[in-house]
Formats: sequence, C-alpha cells, structure tokens
Amino acid sequence: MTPEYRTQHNSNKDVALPWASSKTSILHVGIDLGTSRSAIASSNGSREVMASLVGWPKDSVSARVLGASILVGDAVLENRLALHTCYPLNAGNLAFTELSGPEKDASKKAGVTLLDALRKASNPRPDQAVCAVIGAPAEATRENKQAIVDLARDAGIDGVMVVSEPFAVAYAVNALENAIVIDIGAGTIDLCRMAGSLPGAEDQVTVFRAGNYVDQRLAELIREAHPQVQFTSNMIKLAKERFSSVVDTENRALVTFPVAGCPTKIDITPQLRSAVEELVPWITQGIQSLVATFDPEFQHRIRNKIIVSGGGSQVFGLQEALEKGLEALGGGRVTIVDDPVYAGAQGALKLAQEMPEEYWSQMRR
Amino acid sequence: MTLEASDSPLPLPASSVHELQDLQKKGISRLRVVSASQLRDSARMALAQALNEMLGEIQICGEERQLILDRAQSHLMPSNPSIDPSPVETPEVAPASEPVSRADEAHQSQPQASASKGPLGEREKALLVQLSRLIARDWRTELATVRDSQRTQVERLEMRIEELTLALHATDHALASEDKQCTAELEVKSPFDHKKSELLDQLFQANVALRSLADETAPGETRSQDREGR
Repeated sequence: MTPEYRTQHNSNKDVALPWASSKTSILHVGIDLGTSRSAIASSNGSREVMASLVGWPKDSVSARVLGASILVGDAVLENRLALHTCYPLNAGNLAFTELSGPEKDASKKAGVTLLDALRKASNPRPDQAVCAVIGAPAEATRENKQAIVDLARDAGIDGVMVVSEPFAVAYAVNALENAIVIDIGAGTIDLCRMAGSLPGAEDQVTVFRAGNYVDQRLAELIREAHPQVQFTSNMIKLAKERFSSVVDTENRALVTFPVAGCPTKIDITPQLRSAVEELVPWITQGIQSLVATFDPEFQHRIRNKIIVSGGGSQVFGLQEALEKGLEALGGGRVTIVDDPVYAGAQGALKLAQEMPEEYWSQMRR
Repeated sequence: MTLEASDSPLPLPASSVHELQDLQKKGISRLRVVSASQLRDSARMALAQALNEMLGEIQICGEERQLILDRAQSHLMPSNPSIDPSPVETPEVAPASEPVSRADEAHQSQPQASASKGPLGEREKALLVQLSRLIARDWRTELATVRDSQRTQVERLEMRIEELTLALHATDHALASEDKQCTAELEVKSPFDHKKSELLDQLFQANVALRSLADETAPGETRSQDREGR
C-alpha cells in the first residue's frame, strides 16, 4: 500500500511526511533539546547525543568536498571552517522566534533539521509513528513551546508534547515530591520545585547564566592573564569540558594554545576555577528563592533533596560547592544524577511511554 | 504435553509427546534423540540374539533350523520400505545356520521346497509358536527396557523441574514479599506515585491547551504564565 503524503503547511517545503494514520505502531521518544547539545532516547533502545548545531556549505567547493547540502550535529563542529553555522536554540529557546527576515527562515530551517536528525537517530521503522515528549527550559515562553511543537511536526514527529526539562529529570529519577531539580545546561540553568503536582510558573526558576556564560568568562579571564594567547570559543569549551572543577586539586588545567602561531602550554587552572565558581551563587540564589516561597513546614525537605543533572553537573566538586553555598541557608543535601547527559531525555521518554495511547492518538491528529 | 499422535512413526502406547518449547521452559536444554529406526534396530538385534540362543538350546536338524531362520528373517527384515530402508544387521542370525555341503544342499533342496510350500508339521508348529512367544516377549522386554530407560530420564528431569519450580516459587514469594514491603514504604514516602495518571492527564491537558491557545497568544506576551494544566 502506498502511503499517502501531504505537503507541510508552513514555509519549509523540504520535508514531506507520510500521513500519520498510515503508521500502525508507535515509537516513543524522549528529547532533551539543549542549547549546546541535544539528547534523544527512544523506546527501541536508541540513544544519541549531538551538538545542537546546523551548517550549510559556504560555497559550491565546500559543498562538493562535504558531499552534503546541509550538516547537523558534531559533523558541523568538525567541518565548521567550510560551513555557515547556526545554533537553532539560544538561551534555551528557539532562536528564530526572536529573529526576522532571512535570518529567521534560516534559523527555523536549522531547527527543523536538528529535530529531523534527532528523529532519525531514534531509528523509527517506516510503519512507526514517532511520539515524542520534548524537554523545554523551565521558563520557556508559550510562543516557544508552540514553536517547538510546530518544528517537531515539520520534522516528521507525529505526536509532540512539551514538558519542562527539570520536570522530565524529576520524572526520570522519581523525585516528584519535596525535591528541587536543577538542570545545568549551556544556555540556562533550570531549577524546578517538585511538590507532588505538575510544576507551575512559581515552581520554576531559570538562570540565564550557564555553560556558555562560563565559556565567556573563561575567555575573558584567559585574555586578561595571557593576552598573547590565541584561541577560539570551541577551544575554550573543550578545555572547560576537560578540566572544569570548583575545588583545589593538584591537577593542573594545562592546555596547548598557540602564541603567535607557536603551540604553547599554558596553565588556565585559576581562570577555569574562577569562571566555574561564578555559577555557584546563581544556583544557590535560585534554590533559596524556591525554598523561601515553599510551605515552611516542608522547606527542610526540599533543601535536603536537591538533584542536579545536565552537562554542567559534571563539573568536579560542584556537589560540595553547592552544599557549601547552602550552608548559609541552613544547609542542604545535593545529589548528582548518575546519567546527567541523558537524564532529561530518559525522563521525557518515560513520560512518553507512560502517557495513555488515546492521548497520543489525539496529539497525532 | 499431548498423547502420542496415531500417525507417529513409532507408536508407543501410554507414551506422551512433549512440546520442545515446554521442555525448554522447564529448563531442559539438552535432549538425546533416539530415532524410531534406532529403536527398531536395537529390538532386531536383541531378537536375533535371543533367537540364536534359543536355536542353540533346542535340538533340531539343520533343515528345520534353516526353515525357522528363514521365517524369522522374513519377520525381522524390513518389508515395508516406507518405514525404514536401512539394512538390519543380522549377522548373529545368519551364521547360526550350519554350513551345508553342496551334496547335502542338493539332497535337501527338494524337501525344503516342499516344506516351504506344504503345511507345517506338529513339531514345527510348536516350535514356531514357541518362537513367536519368545519374539513377542523379547520385543516387549526390549521396548519396556527402552521405555523404562526413557521414563527414568523423564522422571529425573521432572523431579528436577519440580525442585526448580519450587525454588522459583520460593524466590518469587520472597521477592513479592519484599516488593510489598518496598511498596508499603514508598506509599508512606511518596503517595504521589498513586497519582501518576492524574499527572499525565494534567500534562496532556497542558499540551492540548498549548496547541489551542497558540493562535490566541496576546501580542507582547512572552513569559509563560500558565500553570501547565493546574
């Protein structure tokens, strides 16, 4: 039987999807749509994390060399010199919603391409309808949530639901009551108070200083200390991911950056620690605001159940640094999730799988 | 488990056929398969041996001995090619016939021919009845031996399966008890677990509202003020 095809209603004409009703089974998918990296986990066991980055060849030569008209994920980072690159997300939100003109179209297309790549990474069979729960920043605007739904549908995802990212993490670790979940990403740090019901606006705080802010501060501090050193934002990012720590250790963060074209080893340990430590007060302030507005009888409970996930949670010594920062608030206990990179996607997948099938039927219409 | 099919190549009364999957479920991973032809061969061998022993004991002339051997062989050899074309080893039977000289052979050829055509004597009949009984008894003995051997193995396996099943039940019971305790603890710690369906419903309603309100979003409104289904 030939599947019936329809043309998408929006301006993007690149993607034509088989009509959902021709699909006989469902593939549940959880997506953590991040500013820097996005992760996907699906009910068939597929898991993948990729850079949230899309690139187009700069000219016909690069197109010929790369053998593709558009690249997505880590391949863009590897070939970025031959590409026009675009991060579809900015500070946790879809960037095109704040753009206009050709830039908006390009950013929107990048968003569809990224979601399409994530869908393909879930390895759906042709007869499977992809039903995805997508994690969005805690304080994502309604416009942005709707934009995520629209782009996901344009990318061939048949059923879409959007959920607060820290809530997805809370669902993954079954911390749905008397807990605070913190998702440290690149664009935002999302804090969410779990009180036994779906979190509302007053239960969530988003800090717009996260991994990218650390990169920016680290670059500034290195430039101050070593004005002659040459580096790019990607080199800074790699150094941060390799050495980031908020505690004094004997290990030194030694990187090889060029100085006047000559590879030179420099010690960036103090700059790195300083840049990372700057995040801690922002996080503890967010925790304080959520604790302070909670029922006084239960405040001690949520202070003692703080769960941290996301790529930023892998900073060495963060757990101790946060607990130290919480001492001024009366103390608290911090736990880092076992699988911080995939925790959001796994929670979203769990939600997708436990969502009744009739709900998905309605969302697919 | 089912009763043996009537079209089985080797019908064994009171025997049973086990589904391989059932055996695998019971933990049996290896089986020795004895084919019908092997069983027949074993039985034929035993029969031929018994026949040799009996012919050694009774006092009969060479002609009668040969007659008995011929008749026995006609029963023993596979006459129906559809059952088993494999040759039956009957060396134990054939050498039992005494060497006969050409002269004797010529002398005996006429009576033998007449004996094979004409009615049997009383003694021959008695011998054949005795032989028939012996054959029947040996067949039954052999089959019973094989069946007993199989039954012993099956019984041993069934006992083992029973032991394992009991152990499994005991483990299940222990785990179930532990689960109940854990569930009871969780019920105390997290009563929210019982409201998961309600939570999922809220999330669904929030997303339905998100879709329906998309076109109605007021200009300038940027921050999400909804309570996501609350």
